[in-house]
Amino acid sequence: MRPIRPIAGKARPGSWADRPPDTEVFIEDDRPVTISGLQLMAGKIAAQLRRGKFFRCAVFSSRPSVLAAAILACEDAGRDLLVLKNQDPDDDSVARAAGADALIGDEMAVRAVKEPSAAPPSPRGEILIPTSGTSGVPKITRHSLSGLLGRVRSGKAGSGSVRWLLTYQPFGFAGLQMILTVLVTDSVLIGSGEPEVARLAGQALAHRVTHISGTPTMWRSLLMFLGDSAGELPLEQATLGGEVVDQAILDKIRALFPRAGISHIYASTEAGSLFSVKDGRAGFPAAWLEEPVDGVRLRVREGLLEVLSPRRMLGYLREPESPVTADGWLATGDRVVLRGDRVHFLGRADSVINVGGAKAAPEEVEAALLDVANVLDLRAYAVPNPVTGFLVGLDILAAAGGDEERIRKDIAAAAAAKLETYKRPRVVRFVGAIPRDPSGKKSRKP
Amino acid sequence: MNAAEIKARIARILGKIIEAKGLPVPDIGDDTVLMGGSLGIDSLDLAELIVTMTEECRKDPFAAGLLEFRTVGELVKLYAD
Repeated sequence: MRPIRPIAGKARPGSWADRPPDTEVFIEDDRPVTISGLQLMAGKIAAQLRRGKFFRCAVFSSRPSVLAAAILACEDAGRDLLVLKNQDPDDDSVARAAGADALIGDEMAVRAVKEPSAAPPSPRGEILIPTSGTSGVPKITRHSLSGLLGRVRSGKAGSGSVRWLLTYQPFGFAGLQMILTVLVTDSVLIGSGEPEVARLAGQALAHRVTHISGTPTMWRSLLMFLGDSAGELPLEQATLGGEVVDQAILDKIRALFPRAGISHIYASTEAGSLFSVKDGRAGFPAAWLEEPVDGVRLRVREGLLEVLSPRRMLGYLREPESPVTADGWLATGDRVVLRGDRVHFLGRADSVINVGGAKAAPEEVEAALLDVANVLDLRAYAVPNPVTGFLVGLDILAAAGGDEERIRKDIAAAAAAKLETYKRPRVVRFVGAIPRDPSGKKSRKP
Repeated sequence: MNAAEIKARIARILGKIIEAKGLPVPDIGDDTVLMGGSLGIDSLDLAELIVTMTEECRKDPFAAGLLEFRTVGELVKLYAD
C-alpha cells in the first residue's frame, strides 16, 4: 500500500507533512487517532476504491477520522466522495440516487452499492454534500476540496496546542469544515457522533479545549451546562456560526473569556465559507457591501443578501434550478437590514412568521429579547390560529432561581419597547431546554 | 366543560389581554362583540384568545377550517362539548 499524501500534496504550514506521525489529530470518545493511523485508514479505503474500480464513493459515519480518511482516500484516488447524513445502513437509495457505486461505513470496508445507477459517473474528485434540507428531499451540492479549504487558515505552525471541540455533526457542512481544519493546521479535533451538550461539556473540560466553534444556540446551552467551570477552560478562540449571531451571546462570551478571540462566521452549504467577523459586534460592516471581503462580493436585493464567492459550490448534482441570479450571484435566502454602519442579519427568509400578512422573523424577535435579565435562551416560533394565520410564540429558558412572573413582565416590556405589535410574542411558555435541529440550529417547529 | 365554565375561562383570558393593553376591562357577557365592539381588542388579541383557549381546553374547533363567530356567546358554543 502506498502512503497517502497530505491534502492535495500541498505542504501547508501546519499540515501533517510537518508533524510527527504519532501526532494526535482526532480524539473520538477519548480514543486518539494519530496521523499515521489516519494514513493507514485512508490507504485502506483508497486501495479498495482502486481495486473495485469504484468512481463515486458514499461515506456514512459519525466518526471524524473515518470521514477524514474517506476525504483523503478519494482525493488521493481522484474519486468523488458523497458525505451522507442520517443514513440507514441497509438503505442504498440516497447513495444510488446520487450516482454513487460504493459505500463505506465505520469499518472502512468498501462495499458496492446495490443496483447502482446505469451510467457510471466520471469522477472529478469532488466532494458532494447534501443540504440540511429542512423540508423535503435534500439537494446535493458539489464542492471542490480547494474551495472547501479556501478559508481554512494555516494557523500558528508548530504551536501544537490548538484543541478544537467538535460541537457540530461531523458529516454536516460545518463539521466537515472542522475536520478539514485539523487536517491542514496543527490542531486536534475532540469529539464525535451526535453532539450532546452534557458530553461536550465533559470533553471540553477533560481535554482543556482551546478552540470552540458552534451555533449560538449550542454556545448558550454549553455555557449553561459548564456554569462556573467555564472559567477553567483555557479558551483562545470562540467561533460562532450557522445561525444569526446576536450581541447578547457575543457579550457573554467576551465577559467569560476576555482573552479569547471571538469571531462569527458566515457560511452555508451552497455558498461555502464566506467571511468571518472579528470585532465582537453582531452583523458585519456596511463597508463590506462596497469592498470585497475575503474575495467575496456582497449586495442586498429586496432585503436579501446575495453573494459572489470564489468558494461557492460548483452547483447542485441533480437539480437543474439553482439559487443563482441572472448575473451569476448566489441568493442566500438570508434577510438583512442596514442599521447605521452595520448590516444585521434578520434570519432566514423561509423561517419568517406570517402574522396576518406582516412578516416577523423569529431570529429578530429573539435578538430583541435575549438581554432580558435571567433569560438564558429563547426560541421564537409560529403558532397557527384561524384569525391571523400565525402568531409569534416564545419559549423561554430561564436561569435557575429566576422569577417566572418577573421574567414574563420584563419580556413583555422589552417587546413593547423594541418590537412592532405583530412581532411581539403572544404565547409565552417556560421550558427546560431549547430544542435543536440535528445541525445544532434552533428548531423552528411549534 | 359546560358553557358557564367556558364563558368564565374566556372572560378571564380576555381580561388579562385587555389589562395588558392598559385598557379598562368591561363586563363580558354572551352578547359582547369580540372585535370591533366595546372591548378594544384587535385581531392579534383575538388570535391570542383562540390559541390560549385551544390549548387550555385541549380542543381545536377550528381544525376543520374557519368557523364564524362574532360574540362571546358564539365562541362559547364552539368550545362547548
